[in-house]
Amino acid sequence: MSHPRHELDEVIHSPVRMSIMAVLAAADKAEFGFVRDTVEITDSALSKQVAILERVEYVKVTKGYVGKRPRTWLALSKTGRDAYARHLAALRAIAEGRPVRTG
Amino acid sequence: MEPDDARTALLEVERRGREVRAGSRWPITLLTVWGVVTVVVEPAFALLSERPWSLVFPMAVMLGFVAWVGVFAARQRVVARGFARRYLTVVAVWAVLHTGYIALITGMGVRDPAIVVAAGLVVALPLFAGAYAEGRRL
Repeated sequence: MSHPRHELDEVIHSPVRMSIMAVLAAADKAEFGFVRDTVEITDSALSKQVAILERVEYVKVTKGYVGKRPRTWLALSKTGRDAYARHLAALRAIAEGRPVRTG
Repeated sequence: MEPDDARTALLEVERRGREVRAGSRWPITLLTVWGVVTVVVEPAFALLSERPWSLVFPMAVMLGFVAWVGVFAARQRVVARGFARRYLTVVAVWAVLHTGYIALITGMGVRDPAIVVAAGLVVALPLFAGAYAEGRRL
């Protein structure tokens, strides 16, 4: 047992990245524009945050075309989903004022 | 982090989840339209199979539907968690029933309207059930 704050993920802890992860956690995949509109940030801000999440392999980015229009799809990786689940468990433990079981 | 901050973050997670689910209503439309097309086309195939040239009408409906699905699905911006698995399950059950319908009803020349319409409804059932299940998830 340890204090749950030790289980919080440093990368996900940022409010904007947390929102991005929350959107992607509820989806198999989401288009870049959908995430931008839902999280209510600019294209450049989302690109920057996605690059951080991609660097730690939490998010997979797929580019493609629908007709002639370019589309970018975002999805959580298995690593990202696991990290997000641990982060949520830590948040729940903090909210309930109990320790979190590790390992 | 304080417990209140954690609770606020968890509420934010729930809100984002609701927003994604709200943007994921399109499978309900897709499956419902597919179900309606099935209810119309399956009996048409059975009832018109005596006059092969007239099969062009249900086939045109089917081709129109396939074209619509291509455009409709490509325009969607989010795919809900687990939808691919649920969709494949519905499609697999529909495919089995559809094959059975073609073999038993159309293949054996059954043309009793009551039977072909009832059988068409049975084939469409997994699509309507899938649409209902997707709606329940929102």
